[in-house]
Amino acid sequence: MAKSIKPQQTLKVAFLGGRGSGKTTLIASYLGHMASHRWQKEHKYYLSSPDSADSKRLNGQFQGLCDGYFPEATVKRSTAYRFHMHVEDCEGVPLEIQWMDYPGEWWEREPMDAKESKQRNEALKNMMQSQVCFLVIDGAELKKHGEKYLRSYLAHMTNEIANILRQNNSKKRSKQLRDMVWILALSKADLLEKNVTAGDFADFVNRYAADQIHTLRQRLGEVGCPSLGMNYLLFSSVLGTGQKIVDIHQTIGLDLIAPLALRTILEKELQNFEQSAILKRIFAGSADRGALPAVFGLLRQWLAKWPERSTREIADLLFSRAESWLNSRAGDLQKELSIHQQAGHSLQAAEALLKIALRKPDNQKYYYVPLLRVSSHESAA
Amino acid sequence: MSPRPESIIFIDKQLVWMTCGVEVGYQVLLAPRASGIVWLDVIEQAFPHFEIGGQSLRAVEVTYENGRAMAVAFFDPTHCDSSSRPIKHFMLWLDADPIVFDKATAVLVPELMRQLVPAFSVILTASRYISEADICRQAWEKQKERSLRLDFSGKATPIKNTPAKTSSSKTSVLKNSLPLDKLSDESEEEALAFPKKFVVMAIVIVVLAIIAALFEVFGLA
Repeated sequence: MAKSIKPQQTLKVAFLGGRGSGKTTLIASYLGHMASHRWQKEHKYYLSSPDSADSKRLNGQFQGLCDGYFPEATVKRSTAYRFHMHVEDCEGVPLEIQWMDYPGEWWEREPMDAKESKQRNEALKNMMQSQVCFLVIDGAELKKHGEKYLRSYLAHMTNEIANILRQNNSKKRSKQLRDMVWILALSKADLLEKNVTAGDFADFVNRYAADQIHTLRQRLGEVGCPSLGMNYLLFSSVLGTGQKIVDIHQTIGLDLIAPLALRTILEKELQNFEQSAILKRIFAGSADRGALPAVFGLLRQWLAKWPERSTREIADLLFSRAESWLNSRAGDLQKELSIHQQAGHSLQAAEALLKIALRKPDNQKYYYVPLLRVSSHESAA
Repeated sequence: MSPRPESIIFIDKQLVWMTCGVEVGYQVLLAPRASGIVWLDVIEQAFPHFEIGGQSLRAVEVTYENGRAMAVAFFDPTHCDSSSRPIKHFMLWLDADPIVFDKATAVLVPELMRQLVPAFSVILTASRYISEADICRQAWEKQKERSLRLDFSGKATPIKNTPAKTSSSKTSVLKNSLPLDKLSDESEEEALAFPKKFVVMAIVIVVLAIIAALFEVFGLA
């Protein structure tokens, strides 16, 4: 058995999602990919599971995925998993990710017996202590039923989340919630059209379920956490057809989960300290560099509709220059990583690696962090 | 020809059955009334995390406070849940005949499920917001036939007579008819067979050669 190493930082994430929304597949795919040599070679870090039983179970499930089978439904019991991040050429564990898997039906039905009831309460209480909450929207259901599913699902989850919050509404709990960040995560993104981005998903949510989001935000605001619906993620644990797995290696957004969680936590910190909204945040430092491409993306989309061709071409040229400048900033991150690796600073190296993941052009379309959230935060304050 | 081995299970006293529906999550559907035993724990003792694994059917002998039971778990041969995952069935056959303990892995699942259709149809079609108690009650009422005949095929792997507690459960897990094995067998056959397109090409070449020979011999050109 491996010697227990104390991690330097702990990131606690929670995935709130209904039955069959892809929580178990995600967790199996997450460890399975990120523990591989292939991943380490490409990303310069890897994950391990410090608990032997968890490792055996998750690797078994991942093997099932490789053989073309989705994991079995999670029945009646929850399991808390821990993943340790290891950075190439660095000693120690810079980051531990804590993650809980549980039956999605817990959001839909009353517990069956006292044991399940106790486990359920403990699991939900535990999730409410997370730093980041991913509210999982089932991509297959969204594709099938459209806004009807989205609206009813959000309304139901709002009700359930509000119930949990009311049950745990002590002063201590409220303080924990105040530090929680919410991300609306669309699972099974491989089933959607290829050009769909997290920005499109955000637009869809705001167009068809703005009132549901508003209600949820209001409920969260009552306990001091008014930021839901401001971060968006698309993810896919495998490439499949809904029933069959086509390619286990074609994933979407897996390497964004930890970076996005960390980034949103940092942004939350920034929100707490800064009063002037967008501009300060854009230049707030390396943690928020992803904001610039977001601004450029928006402007570019807007200018693409400009009637005059010559203006469009000049704008394209300017933005290409700006983006290549931004990419050179990614080069800075690589240098930063090398320096920290050489110095053996595993935590700083891990931070640089996670930022690199956010800066990858392929990844940028899978997450969306709207800039205007600050104003809503200020008004709530 | 010897008759196919079979055994009778009385649903009211000897059957515990946990399963799910298309929309509804897992629950104990049928169980002896007023027993006071937490059947979920007994099933979990046999199948940790309620997982069946790669097998199509697993059978484990378990003990509970009043006796011993055969725990079986298998995937439904025809039904999936709303996320296209095969529905799992977990059953305990309480204090069954010795033949059940010997031949549990050879039980004919389609025949077994055919007899349970009335109760299964209740959970299968239930809405996800119906309470577990209501589903149980309706299933109990619909299942008019109160006994279950277990038919066994000739082949069975013997099950060790050890109670399924932690590691001992692993020893009594039986491996048979893996779906993965089936797939690999098929692909193996394909790999070894002579490709059909080459056979067709060979036939075409032979036919063309015969035609060319005819032209040559009879001077048809």
